[in-house]
Amino acid sequence: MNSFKSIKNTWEKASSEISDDKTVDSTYIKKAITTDSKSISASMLINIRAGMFLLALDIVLFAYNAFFYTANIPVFTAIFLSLLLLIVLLVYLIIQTRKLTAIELRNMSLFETLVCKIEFFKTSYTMSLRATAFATAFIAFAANLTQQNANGEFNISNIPLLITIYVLFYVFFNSLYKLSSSIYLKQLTNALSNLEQNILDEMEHEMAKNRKTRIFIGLSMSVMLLAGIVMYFIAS
Amino acid sequence: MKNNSLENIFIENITKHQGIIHKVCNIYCTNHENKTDLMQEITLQLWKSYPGFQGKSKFSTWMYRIALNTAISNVRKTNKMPLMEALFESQIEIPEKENLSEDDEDVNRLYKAIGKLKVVDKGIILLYLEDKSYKEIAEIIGISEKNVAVKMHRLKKKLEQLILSERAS
Repeated sequence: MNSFKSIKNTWEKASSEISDDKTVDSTYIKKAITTDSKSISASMLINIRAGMFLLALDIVLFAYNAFFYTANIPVFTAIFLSLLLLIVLLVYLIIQTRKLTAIELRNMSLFETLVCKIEFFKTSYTMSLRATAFATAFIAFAANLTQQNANGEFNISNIPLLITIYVLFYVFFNSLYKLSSSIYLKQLTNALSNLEQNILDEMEHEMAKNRKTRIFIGLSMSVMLLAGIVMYFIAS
Repeated sequence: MKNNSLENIFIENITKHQGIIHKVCNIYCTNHENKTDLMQEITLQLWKSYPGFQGKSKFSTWMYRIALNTAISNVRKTNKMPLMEALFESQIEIPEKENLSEDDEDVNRLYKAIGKLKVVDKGIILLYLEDKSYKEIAEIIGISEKNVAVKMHRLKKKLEQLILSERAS
């Protein structure tokens, strides 16, 4: 015999054991609220901040090199445009950190939280990882510029090869960052798919209920019609 | 000064309702290390969200919402040395089993059965066992009351079956 009542009784026994546990006292709470978070969001925040650091480093290196290449117009233009792009990306990442912090502090239901986080992960966070990969690839370019800035004669002999190298750099780092974060996305989507299954279950239940109602109405009408016909024939 | 008094009120409330944290950790974690991590993370997230608690819902409802959100959507799954962990768990489980009373065995079976449910279903069953109304469960999880009712009907049956199979094994 395993009715749900006995499960409830067992749960009450378990709860009474838990009520004796007083681990969470003021000392514990004071310590816990000053520790670093180990959450998925905290990891995402660390990764975004790492990207911000790389972009800032790129900006410093490019700005520093700009002075040495004022006479070399093609390279100076490349540095100037890169600087602009890097600044835009840095601002974007700053906005994303604020967005993520705001999601964390919003008082939402589990469903809303999951949807918000997955959306952030698939859009903003993916873009942030791309920006980080871009910043990583640009470090190499900045390093090349710095190495040869003494005489301001940095020349690109093979533009397609250079672009290919940087694109490969970018693709490699982007895949690496994406791979390292994919486990979080899987965890979040698993929870969401479980929730969505609940909603589908409700829809199926509703549809089954409606089907039963329609069958019942159909049968009742048929019986009434049949009864009417029979009564008509009897009467006539 | 203001922050200090907020902290004191927070500590008082959390200490009073600490059972919620223990229960959520018990159903979402199987080993001690993960349980300790989750307990710490829930306490931290509760503190971060505390300024946003406006008293519109019961304190316990708010606490369940944050605790479950943290357990389900915010904690990184750490699988540190799973083999060693499994060995360690099996080592401590055998002597424990010998000394367990019938009640303790029932509690263990219940936890094991809940552990086999899907991640969100664990939360729903916990709230139901804690006598939360369908309305409160719907509010915490973010699904309709009707949905909770349908879900509970199926979950109760599933949990009974899981406990039966635990008993048989």
